[in-house]
Amino acid sequence: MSTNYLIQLFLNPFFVLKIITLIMMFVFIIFILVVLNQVRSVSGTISQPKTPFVTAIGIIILLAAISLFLTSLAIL
Amino acid sequence: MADIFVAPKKEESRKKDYFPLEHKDPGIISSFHLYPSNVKFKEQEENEEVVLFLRRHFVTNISWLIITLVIIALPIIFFINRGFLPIPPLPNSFNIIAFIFYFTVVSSYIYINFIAWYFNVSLVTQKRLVDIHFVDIIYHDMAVTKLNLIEDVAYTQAGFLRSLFNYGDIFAQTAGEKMHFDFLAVPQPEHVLNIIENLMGGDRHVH
Repeated sequence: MSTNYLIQLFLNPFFVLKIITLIMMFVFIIFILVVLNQVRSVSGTISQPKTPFVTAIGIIILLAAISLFLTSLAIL
Repeated sequence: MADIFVAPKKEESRKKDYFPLEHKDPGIISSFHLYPSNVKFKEQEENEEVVLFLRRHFVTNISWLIITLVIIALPIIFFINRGFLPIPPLPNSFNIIAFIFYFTVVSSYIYINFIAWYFNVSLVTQKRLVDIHFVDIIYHDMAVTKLNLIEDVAYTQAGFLRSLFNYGDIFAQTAGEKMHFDFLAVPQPEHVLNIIENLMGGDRHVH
């Protein structure tokens, strides 16, 4: 019974779509983390007055991506 | 007897000519700033002052700004013409999540392009030229050369856009390890060249 259930689950296009969406969001979050790490590294090389503002925007994008990931996990 | 002519005091006029204007923070989209305040770089010496702060001219961002406008318009075009496209109906929750995710990706595209421009900075100090390259999101480097190692400095300004917006490339040939030192697409290249030449000539303050 459980095997049949699993096969049905994996054949369900919405389930596959959900998994693909979640994987894409996860990769995107990792990507934004790499970008933010690079921003932190460069802001150590050159300090500019508006850098905290630029970093804050990056953090907002990261938080948006994380909250979207969690929302998708819950509602899809 | 009334004075016919009174010569201005030498000290005052010299001060006005040679001493910098007030120090201000460079703006977030500023690409040419004389005597910026709160700009510091790694390995800056204590008595070393940043004379000139340069980035590529803001007009050089036009290509990715146009791409951004197109990718923002794409979902709108898609939703208007949805009836004509062979797309199976999806639950509303999928549509909403896909829509928000798409715009999060677009905002990250804007952000990455912006920081690639924002952190590509060239500095001229009283002693050195500093060039910080932020090539892509996984690579950046910093090159420094002393002004007394520069053998030749020149600029080019070729093309319609460059003439219209007054920006060009500065090339400095050095005797150091890095033979060429380029400041690409910087605003007012002639002015930048004059500043570098004056500093090479020993002027402490330029304007």
